Amino acid sequence: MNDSSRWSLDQDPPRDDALARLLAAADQPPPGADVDWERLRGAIVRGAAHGRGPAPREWWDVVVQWRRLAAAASIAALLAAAALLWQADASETDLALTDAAPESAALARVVAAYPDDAVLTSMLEQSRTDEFTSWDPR
Amino acid sequence: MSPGSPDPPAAREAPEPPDPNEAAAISRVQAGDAAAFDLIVRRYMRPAYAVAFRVLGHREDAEDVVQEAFLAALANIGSFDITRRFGPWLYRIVLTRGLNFRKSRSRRAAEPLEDAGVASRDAGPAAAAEQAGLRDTVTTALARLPERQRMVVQLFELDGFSGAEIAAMLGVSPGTVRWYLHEARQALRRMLAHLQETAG
Repeated sequence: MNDSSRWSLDQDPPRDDALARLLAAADQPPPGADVDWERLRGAIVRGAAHGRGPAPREWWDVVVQWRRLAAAASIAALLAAAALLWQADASETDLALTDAAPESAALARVVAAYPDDAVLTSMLEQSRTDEFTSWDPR
Repeated sequence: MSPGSPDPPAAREAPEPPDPNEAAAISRVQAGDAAAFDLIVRRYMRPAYAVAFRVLGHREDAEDVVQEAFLAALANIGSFDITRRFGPWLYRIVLTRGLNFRKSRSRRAAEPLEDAGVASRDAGPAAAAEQAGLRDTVTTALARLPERQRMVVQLFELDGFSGAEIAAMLGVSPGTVRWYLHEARQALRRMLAHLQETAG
């Protein structure tokens, strides 16, 4: 690298090529290497023509910008959906195993609380034996 | 500036006169000529982007700031003095807007190294690792500099701006910029001395 001891207030020093090469190594890719200059120029000129702020990005620019987040969100959504499906399947099995008439169970709990109540007991008996019978108006 | 350093000296220089073609184009823009504005955009968007990127370290943000700066410049073009150069005036707008943007952007971290491996992917693994090590060392050394010194040395050595142009951006004298440059170079040479052979 160049001699560092000389510098002047009045004029720019010569560029230090060795230092510049080292700095360039930390500058990869160089700024602007991946910029679409025509698109940027078009956006500025369109914005100026419409007398407003920066032109909105095109939809494909937004897609490119958010693609990683979108991919991660899609995977998370798939995992969540799979978990929900698995959980719903398990709940259905539980329901099938314990599927008793809920009103009968509630009535049984009331009768248990009032064991001497004959009316309640008869209601419970009736609910257990209730079935469709043919209606004969005669 | 590093602790213990003396204050940077001040110096004044007469500003460089503008390119006559540029002054004519600016006059046409002031008169509402859209084609002339397009010429100005073509001429200055790349260096304006370099300034924005040095402040923000993020491609999309730098593009947004460049757009905003051009439109702000256009909105105020009537007050621009065509006896002066347009570039430094525009870069000052870019720098100011970039700093404001960065303040409001705390939610999003800079991603300058997102694609840092692109340049070395075609090389072999050993060369790529060596390149990555070199990059990390230089990046760390740059990060140790005060921000103004870092910006000055990058804008001068890498982006090709003159001391006077950088001075106009930062709102300081060219002598002050040269002082920052001197300090930054000294510090980098100390920190990167062991890489001198690698750099050739």
